[in-house]
Amino acid sequence: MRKNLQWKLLLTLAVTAVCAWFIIPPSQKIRLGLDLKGGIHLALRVETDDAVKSVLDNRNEALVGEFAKRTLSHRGIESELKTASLLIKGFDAVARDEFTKTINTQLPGYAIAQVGADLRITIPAMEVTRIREEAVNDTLERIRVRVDAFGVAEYTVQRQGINSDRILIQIPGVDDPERVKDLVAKPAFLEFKKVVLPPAAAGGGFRGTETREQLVALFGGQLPADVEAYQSDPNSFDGRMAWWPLSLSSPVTGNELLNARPSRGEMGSAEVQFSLTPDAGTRFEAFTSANIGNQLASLLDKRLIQVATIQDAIRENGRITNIGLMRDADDLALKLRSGALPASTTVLEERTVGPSLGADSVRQGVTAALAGLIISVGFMVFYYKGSGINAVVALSLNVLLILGIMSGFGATLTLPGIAGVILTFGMALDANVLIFERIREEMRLGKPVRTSVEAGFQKAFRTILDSNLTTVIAAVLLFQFGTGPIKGFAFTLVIGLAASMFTAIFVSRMMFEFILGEGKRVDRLSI
Amino acid sequence: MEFFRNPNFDFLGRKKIFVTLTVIFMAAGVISLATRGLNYGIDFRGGADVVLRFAQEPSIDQVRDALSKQGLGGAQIQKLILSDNPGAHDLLVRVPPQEGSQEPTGVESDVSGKILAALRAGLAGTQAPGKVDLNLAGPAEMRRGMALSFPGQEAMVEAAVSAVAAYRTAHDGLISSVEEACQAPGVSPEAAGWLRDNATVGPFAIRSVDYVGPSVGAELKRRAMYAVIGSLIAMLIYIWFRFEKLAYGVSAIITLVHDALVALGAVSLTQKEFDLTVLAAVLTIVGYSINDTIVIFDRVRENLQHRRGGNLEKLFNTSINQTLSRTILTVALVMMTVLTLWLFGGSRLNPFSFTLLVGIISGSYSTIYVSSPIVIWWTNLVEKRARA
Repeated sequence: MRKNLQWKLLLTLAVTAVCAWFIIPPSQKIRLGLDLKGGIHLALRVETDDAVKSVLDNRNEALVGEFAKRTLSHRGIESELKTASLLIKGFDAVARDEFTKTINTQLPGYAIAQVGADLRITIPAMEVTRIREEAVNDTLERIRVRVDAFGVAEYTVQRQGINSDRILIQIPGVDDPERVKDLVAKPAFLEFKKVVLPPAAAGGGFRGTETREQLVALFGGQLPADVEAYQSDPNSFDGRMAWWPLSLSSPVTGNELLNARPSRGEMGSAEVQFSLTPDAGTRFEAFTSANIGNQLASLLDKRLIQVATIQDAIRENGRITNIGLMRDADDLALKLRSGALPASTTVLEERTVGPSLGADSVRQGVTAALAGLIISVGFMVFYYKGSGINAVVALSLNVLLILGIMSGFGATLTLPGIAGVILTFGMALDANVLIFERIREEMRLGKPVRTSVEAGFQKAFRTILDSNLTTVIAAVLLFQFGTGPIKGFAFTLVIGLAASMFTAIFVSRMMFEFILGEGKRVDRLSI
Repeated sequence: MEFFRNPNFDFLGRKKIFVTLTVIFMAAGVISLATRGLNYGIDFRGGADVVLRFAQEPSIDQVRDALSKQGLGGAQIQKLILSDNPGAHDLLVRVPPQEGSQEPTGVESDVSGKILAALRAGLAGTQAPGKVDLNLAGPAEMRRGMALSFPGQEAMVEAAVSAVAAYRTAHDGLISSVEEACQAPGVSPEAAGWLRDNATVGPFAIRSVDYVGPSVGAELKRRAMYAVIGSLIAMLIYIWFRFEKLAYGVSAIITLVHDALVALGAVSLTQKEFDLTVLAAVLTIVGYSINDTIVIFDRVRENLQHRRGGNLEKLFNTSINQTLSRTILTVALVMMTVLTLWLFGGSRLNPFSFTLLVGIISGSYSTIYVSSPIVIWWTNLVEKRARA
C-alpha cells in the first residue's frame, strides 16, 4: 500500500473515531434544543433604571438627613431619573458654600450646578455605567442561584452579548412556566415598614380601611409626608383587600438577610423563617423594642403581604407567616436566600415547549428525515452500483461528522438545525453525484478507468468548491446577523459543508484509490 | 443505470415561453404577497400564543369566560386540528401584541403568565388547591415536592419522577387520573402513596407557550432582513469574482430572488404560518438553488475555455444537457427526502417541509430558465454595444 494512502486512511479513521466518541451514546451526547426536548427559554431585560433610581433615592434620603443635621434649609429634594441627578428645590442660597461642602463630603465626584433657585447634583456618567453594569451582573448571579435550585442539569443562564442588559435563561425539561417566571424574574425585595396608626385609631386593633379615601379621611384629609398608603395583597393576606398607612422608611430590608428557610407554623400553615445579619439585627432590635404593641408590615416587591403586631423585641430571627402552600414558602425562601434582584425584569421573549410536543417533533421529524436519507442512499447504490456503496460510506460518514462536530462544540440540535443538516446532506449527495457523473463522462470518452477517476475528481472539485464556498459565505453572514434559530441553522450549514467537502472529495477519493489498487491496469469500474 | 446517454434537448430554444411562465409565477407570488400578505407567525408578529392540550373537548365559551375575567377579552381562541393526531383536543389562545409603541415592562410583560393563570383559575378551579398538577408540573417540580417527604431517598424519588414524566410523554402529554400515574412502571408503592395524597390531574397540559415582545419581534425582522440581504450581496460578489463577469453574479442573485419569491408566494397563497423555521427553509432553498446554478455556470465556464467564440446560447444548452443526469438525480433524491418529511414529518414541520418542496422544484427550474437566459441576454447586449 502506498504511504500516501496509509496516511489518508489513518486520518479518516481518526476523524471517524473522534466523532463517534462524541456522539456515542447518542441519547446522552447529542444535545437537543429546547424546541425538540421541551423546556423553557426566557429572554429578560434587566430594568437597570430601577437600580439607578434606587441609588438616587438612597442618596436623596442621605442628603435630606445630612442637611437636616446641619440645619440647611431647602424645599425638598427630587430624584430625576432621566438625568441621573438630584434636584435640591429652593435651597438656601446664602448657605451655598455650606451646601457644596456637605455634598462634596457626602458624594465626592458628583457634579453640582445651580439651576435657577435649585441645585442640581448629577451622578458622574462613569458611576451610572457602573451601577447599571453591577445591576445586570448581580441579577445574573442571583438568577443563577435560583435556577440552580431546580436541580436540572444543563441549564443556561447567561448574558446576551457584552454590555447588554439582556439575560438569557434556558431550562430544559419544562417546569410549570408560571412558577419558573415567578422564581426567576421577580426581584423578591423584602421590606419591613411600621404601620402608622391614624390618630383616630390609636386604641389598637386597626385592620385597615376598605378604600383609600377612608384611610385619607382618618388622617384628616391628607396623609402625612412620611406615610404611604398600601393595599394588601389578597392572595397572601387572609383574602382581605384593605388599605394600610405605612411609614416611608424601612428599618431593615431583605438585602440584610443571612438565611431564610421554609417551615411549618403552629397551625400547620407554611411560613418562612429568616435571620438577619448582626448589624441589621441590632437595628431591628432597637426598632422593635421601641414599637412593642405597634403593627409591623412586610412587603414583598412593594406588595403588602403581612401585618403583625410586635409582641416582643426581635433581634435576628423573624418569620413571614400565612404563605399558603409549602412550595410557595420554599420558593420565597429560595428567592430571599439568593438575594433580591437589584432591578425589576421585563420578559422580552418566552418560548416554552411542552415535553410531549418536543417528543412528537423529534419522533416524527427525525424519523421522516432519516427515512428520506435512507431512501436516497439506497437509490445511490441502485444507480451507481459498486461506486454507490462508496457514496453510502461517504454520506454516512458525513452525517456522523456533522453530529460529532456539533456535539464536540457543545452545540444543540434544533429544528432549523435539522434543516441545515438536510441541506448539507443534499449538497454532499450532489457532490458525490457530480463526481460520479464526471467519471462516467470521462469513461464514455474512452479514457482508461484510472485516468477517468482522476479527471472526474479533478473537474468536479472546482464546481463543488465554488458551490460550497458560496454557501459558506452566505452562512457566515447569516451567523453574523441572525438571531438564535438562524444562527443554529448557519452553524450547522458551515459544519455540514466542511464535512461534505471532506467526505465527498477526500474520503471518497481514497476509497476509489483502494478499489483501483496500485500499478496494475484496471479495465472495469462498477459505476 | 443511466437516465440519459448524451442527452441533447433544446432547453433554451423555447426560452421565451418559459420566461413568460417564470414572469407569471413571480407575478403571482408578488400579487399574493401584496394582497394577502404573509401569515406571520409569532416570531415576527409578536404577542403571545399559548397552545394547550385538553383531555376532553373544551368549551370555548368557558375558556373565553375565564380569559375575560382576567381582562384578556381580546384573546383569540381557536381549535387546532392536527392531521397527524385527529383525536387530540388542542386549543390555541392568542393574545395579539399591544397596540402603540409603549412596551409593557416589569410584571406587565408576562402576558403568557396571565393567560395561564386565568385559565387555571377559570378551568382548573375545582381541583384541590396545593396539590401538584401532574399535567402541568415538570419533573423538577414533582421531584421537589416528593423530596421534601422522602429525605435521603433520592434514587426512589428520581425513579418515580422519571416514570411519571415518561408515562405522560408516552400518553400524548396527558394523564387522566392520579391512579393511572401510580400504576406507571417504576413508581414505588411509597411514591404512589405520596401521589394519591399530594397530586391531582388538571384538565389540560401545556403544549407550547410563545411570547415575543414588540422589541424582540421588530429586532428579529430587522436582523433576518440584514442577514438575507447581506448574504445575497456577498454571494453576488463571490460569483462575480469567480466567474469574472458581473452577468453571472447578477443572474445568480436574480435567480435566488426568484426562488425566494416563489417560495414566499406559495406560503402566502396557502396562508401557512411564516415563522423562523419557514425562513430557515427559504434560506435552505437559496443555498440549494445557488448550488444548482453554480454547477451549470461552472460547466459553461469550462466549455468556454475549450471553444472560443460560438453561440453562447448553444453553449448554455450543451452545458445544461451535460449536467442533466446530475440535475435530475440530485433533484430526485433531495425531493424524495423532503417529500418524506412533508408526508410524515408531523404538523409542526409541515410549513417548513412545504416551503422546501416548492423551493426545490423552483430552484432547479430557475437555473435553466432564469439564470441562463439572463446571462445570455446580458452578454449579447454587452457584445452588441461593443460592436456598435
